[in-house]
Amino acid sequence: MTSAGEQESRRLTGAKRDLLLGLGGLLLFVLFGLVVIAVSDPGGSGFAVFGSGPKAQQSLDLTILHTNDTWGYLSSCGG
Amino acid sequence: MLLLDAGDSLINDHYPAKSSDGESSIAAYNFVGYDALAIGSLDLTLLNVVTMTERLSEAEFPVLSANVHAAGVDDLLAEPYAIVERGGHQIAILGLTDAAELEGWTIDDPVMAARQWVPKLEEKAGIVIVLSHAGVDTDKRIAAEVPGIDIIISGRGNATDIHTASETGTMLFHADSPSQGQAGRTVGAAYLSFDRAGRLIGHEWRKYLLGEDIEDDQETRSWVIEADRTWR
Repeated sequence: MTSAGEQESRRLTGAKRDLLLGLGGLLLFVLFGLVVIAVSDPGGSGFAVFGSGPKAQQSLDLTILHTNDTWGYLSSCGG
Repeated sequence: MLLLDAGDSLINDHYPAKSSDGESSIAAYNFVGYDALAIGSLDLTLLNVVTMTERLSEAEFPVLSANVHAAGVDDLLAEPYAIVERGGHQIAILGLTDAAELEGWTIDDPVMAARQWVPKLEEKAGIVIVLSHAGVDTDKRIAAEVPGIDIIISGRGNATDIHTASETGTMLFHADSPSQGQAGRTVGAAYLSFDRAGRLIGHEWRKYLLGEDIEDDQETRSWVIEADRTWR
């Protein structure tokens, strides 16, 4: 037969265990929620947690035409 | 599409830019529809603060420099950057000028300016372009040392065409090396692909010589003829 002190000790150990399990479950829930947000947000803003700068809705093909040192010439042949 | 100029394009030795103090150049770039231009030291050598301020007010596009001040003035002469939108993407364009000691002007170190501004631009835009007249060697250093830049459009110095910094992956494109009597002959064309997050995932770059193989745009030709009358 266990003593009152041993019973109290087992209750406390069980309570600690329950608390840890509860906290762990809460943490898993939060992590799961973050993953769902990140994957499902069509605007990609869910990834803002992991990156920086605004995100666009789609990819971009961009053409950049560039000049330099044109010296104000209106004709490329020296005029 | 973006149409950009990396500096020293307002004035030098030829009419009508020389006789109009660069007014014809700004008018030409307004007509063609440039999206941004960086200030070069030659512009500052030949134009004083009053005239440069007038030219900036005439431009219908951003004239940029993150490191030029009138001597004794804390404020920058021009806007340091511009934000443009293409295809739903916010694109930041930072202007840099080559460091030089010029009477009437203070030009800060362009590498320091890049270090100061690029992190701020990363918060505002998914794509960061540096439009630089700092010179190819300095631009290569910026590409290597300053993370967060997608591409550098480079002016000044000998043409190096295309360069990729191994440290950061930042690409650099440089179109032209002018000479007396011949400038503005070459246009660089960068064909770029970005993913949704604004990461550069593909590129192709070519250089086009504006010679006899390329037919004149008649509307532009008419404009140039009229400009000749205007500033003669």
